Amino acid sequence: MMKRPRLISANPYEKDVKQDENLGDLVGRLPDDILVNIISRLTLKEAARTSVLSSRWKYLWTFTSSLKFDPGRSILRYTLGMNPSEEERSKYINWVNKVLESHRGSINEFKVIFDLGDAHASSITNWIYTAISKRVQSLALYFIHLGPTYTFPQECCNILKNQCGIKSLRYLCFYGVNVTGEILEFFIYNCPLDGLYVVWSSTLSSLKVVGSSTQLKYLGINYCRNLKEVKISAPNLLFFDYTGPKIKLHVENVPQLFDVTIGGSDRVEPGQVISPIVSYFPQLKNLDLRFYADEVYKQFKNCGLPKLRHLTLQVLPCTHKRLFWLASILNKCPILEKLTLKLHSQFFVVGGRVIQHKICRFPLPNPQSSS
Amino acid sequence: MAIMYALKSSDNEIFEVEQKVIEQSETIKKMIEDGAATGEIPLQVSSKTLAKVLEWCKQRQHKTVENENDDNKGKRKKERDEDDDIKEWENKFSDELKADKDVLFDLLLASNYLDLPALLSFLCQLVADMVAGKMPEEIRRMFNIENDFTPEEEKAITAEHGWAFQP
Repeated sequence: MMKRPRLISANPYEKDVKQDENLGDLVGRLPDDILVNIISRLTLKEAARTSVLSSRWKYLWTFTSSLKFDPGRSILRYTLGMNPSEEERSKYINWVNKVLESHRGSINEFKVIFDLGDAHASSITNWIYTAISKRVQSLALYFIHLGPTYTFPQECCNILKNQCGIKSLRYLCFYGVNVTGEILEFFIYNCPLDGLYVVWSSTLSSLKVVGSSTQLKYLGINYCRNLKEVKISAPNLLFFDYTGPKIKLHVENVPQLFDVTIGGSDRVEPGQVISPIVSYFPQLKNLDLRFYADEVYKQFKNCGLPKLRHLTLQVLPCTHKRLFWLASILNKCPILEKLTLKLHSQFFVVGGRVIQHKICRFPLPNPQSSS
Repeated sequence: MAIMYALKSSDNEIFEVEQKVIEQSETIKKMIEDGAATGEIPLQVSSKTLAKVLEWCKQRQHKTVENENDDNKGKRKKERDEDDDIKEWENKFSDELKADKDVLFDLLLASNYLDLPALLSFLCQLVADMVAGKMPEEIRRMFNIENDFTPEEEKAITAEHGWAFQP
């Protein structure tokens, strides 16, 4: 964690002399920066509630480095299609605005999650400016909205370019935010980004993550339905997660990429998944395949992943009796240590249940002789 | 032979410690580098608290040494078992501190003064976990915080941050 400037410069040990008087105010002995460190680990609601403890605590919470505007359980209703009223939306926006107004100091984490869209663009854009001016390290916008999606303004980049706060941004997540490849590349090349996640952006058509200067370690692109092309050449990349339509994927110079998650629709044509993965990522250690089609798994017959240690597969309940194709997979991954099967119904994860089989360590039983 | 240093607590107790263990403290490391640490290193930390600090440092040191000596073979399993051991050790350490809050807060001050970021972060999380989900009155009672607000002032603050007090 970044070291904060001391809020008060008093020597914390001045009061140490009184250490036998355990009846005193215990926390009162701590300097403000430790109390703010503690407060920053609470939820925003819990943090704000400390304002009422005593006069010393009244404003301490406004220095919290974690601003996560979590609406609680109500967000679950919205994901199930029950929309909030416009009044509820303004209430949420006012909440964020009011807290940002009273907030002092810098922010490590800023996260908004609500049913908001393009109609609320001016507020949202302001939040981004404020968070970046407060040297945010992790910025996450999650919008679940049926109406027009919030579009990240292109001109925003020009304004942000001159802000020194942009040099603190290490993690960026746009969920339900329309962005272009140009905007994402602005962040990749102008911030010391470790992680970038883009989900449900319909305006994203191509993305280039190229260059030895990028220190990106985690890249996730999910459900961007108009995406056509992704180019990756990133020496520091450790993890890549792609789910969405069929795209042109160019990958080179990813010596550290050991973790890959790939998913798509059922209509993926056989022969189009495994062999590109194998040719691009022969060094893979962990692979999570989010396809339901049996066809995809049958492709393992033709090629293998010699270094794979952990494989995760999605299984539909209706196909569970036909798991015989697992045999061909096990045969093609000679040093596999762990196989995880995730059981999905047609629409939802069944209670989030994960069936996990720990495979015995070497040598693997020969699947063909045992079947 | 490991280089040993003598740490002197505020109540004049001497602790003999290996350099590697105590160098986790940026404050002491700097003192050693600056050559200020000849003979006994006097610290503004009570013996009871210093013993806890060293308990933490030794545990951390133990872990790093073992990892350095490991070759890759069988490392993963060993790491898993070690993680379990560390969890267990940390739980015990936390429980003792929760039971003696005076030591807990002295330790917080000491970790800050000795510049031990991992311990500071661990302790701040421990206190945050103790505070989480509790109402103001419970927190005041837990840490002997004196409420110096008048009922009117308290009501005004509660009203101002109404969103925080709703379930």
